[in-house]
Amino acid sequence: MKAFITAIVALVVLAAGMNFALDNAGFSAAEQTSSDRNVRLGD
Amino acid sequence: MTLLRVLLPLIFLVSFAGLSAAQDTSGDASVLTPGQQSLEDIMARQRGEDVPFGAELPLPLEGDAPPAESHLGPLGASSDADLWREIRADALPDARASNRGPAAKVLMQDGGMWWLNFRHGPLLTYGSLLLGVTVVLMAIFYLIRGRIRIEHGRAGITIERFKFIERFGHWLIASSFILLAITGLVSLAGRKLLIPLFGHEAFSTFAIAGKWVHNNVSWAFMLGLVMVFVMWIVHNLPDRTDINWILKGGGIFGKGHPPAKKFNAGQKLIFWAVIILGTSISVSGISLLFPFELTMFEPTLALLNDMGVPQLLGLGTIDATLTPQEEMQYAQLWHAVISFVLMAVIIAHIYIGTLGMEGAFEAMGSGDVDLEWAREHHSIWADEVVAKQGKPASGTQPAE
Repeated sequence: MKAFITAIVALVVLAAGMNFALDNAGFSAAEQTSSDRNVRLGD
Repeated sequence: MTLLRVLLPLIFLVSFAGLSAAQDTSGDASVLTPGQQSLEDIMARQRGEDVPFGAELPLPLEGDAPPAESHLGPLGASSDADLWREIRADALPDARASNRGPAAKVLMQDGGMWWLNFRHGPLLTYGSLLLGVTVVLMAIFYLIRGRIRIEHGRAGITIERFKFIERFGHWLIASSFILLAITGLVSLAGRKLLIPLFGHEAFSTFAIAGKWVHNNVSWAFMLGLVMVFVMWIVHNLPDRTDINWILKGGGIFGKGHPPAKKFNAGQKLIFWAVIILGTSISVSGISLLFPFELTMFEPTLALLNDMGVPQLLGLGTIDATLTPQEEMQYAQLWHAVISFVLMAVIIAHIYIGTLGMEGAFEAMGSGDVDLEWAREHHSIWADEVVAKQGKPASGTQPAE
């Protein structure tokens, strides 16, 4: 069952890694759906 | 002088009549109609008199209502129907939004209710039915056929069926698919089934975690899909042995097994189902992971129209102009429908690989299978392996 255990470990690493990579690449839902370009914030 | 005395009051009277005529505002928007209040009403209220107004006033009779262009008609200020029609049709020429993305300017999208009703209704009902019927069929099959045994007993020696990398690819796609199926079902059926059981707050935590798992584990599924495709495509190309295998029903009923190579026709069907349906689920899943970035349905519908497919089916020309939200809604429905079909296929695959057949799980467990099992279910492949190794027992290991 080494192949199964290795696959589970790979699955966890891939899931965490892709989440980290996509978040840092600006693909989070928040970054994709909002912008401050046309909004005056503050004063 | 006498004439002047007569004319002056006459001029005065005429001018007064002119003033009165000037104040005749029939046809003007400010003319009082039943239901409207007058200056006298206001003055009377200021004197403390009880003057009814608003809903207490009698409604105007039919035909007495002010024209639609009136500024203060029964509905208050006039409504700009064209503006709202444009908003509803996503046709505002100069709309601006602080949000990004092509869907940001769509304020109303009436296809949303159709999608929601379909998602909570037929999709969930028939999808669950498909899974339930598959489980019941497997149970009936088990009751009728029982476990498929190794007819001549174990040989006591094993041959290698799958290498480590093959089993790794299989378990990567298998474990990720099970996680994706569970979390996908939670997100689809949670509102209807889980919220009544656990409440909103408990479900919320579970749903957020499920969404994270579903979004991020998808990459492992896609990697597993590519690995399995690359490693096993050669063994899954159709050939003439498949026809014989299918004609004999795979030897499921009765004695004797039709000859098969490394993968028999049944396994080839599973393989292609996983590859084709899995790819379709992956593409629609990527479209959902990156909303409004990947347009799938509009070009597909346009292509079908061009090919004349809907016309052949008597559906006429399909409207291929979709709003960004409709693209996403179709992608979600497609993703779910195809996933239900693949889940049904995988339930059958899990059954036959574990409970349904003696010796089958070892192929993916340890990677080695009993020689007699291999000879019964994959005789051509077993002969090839044995011939390659010189003699049956050479290079094989005793079964544990």
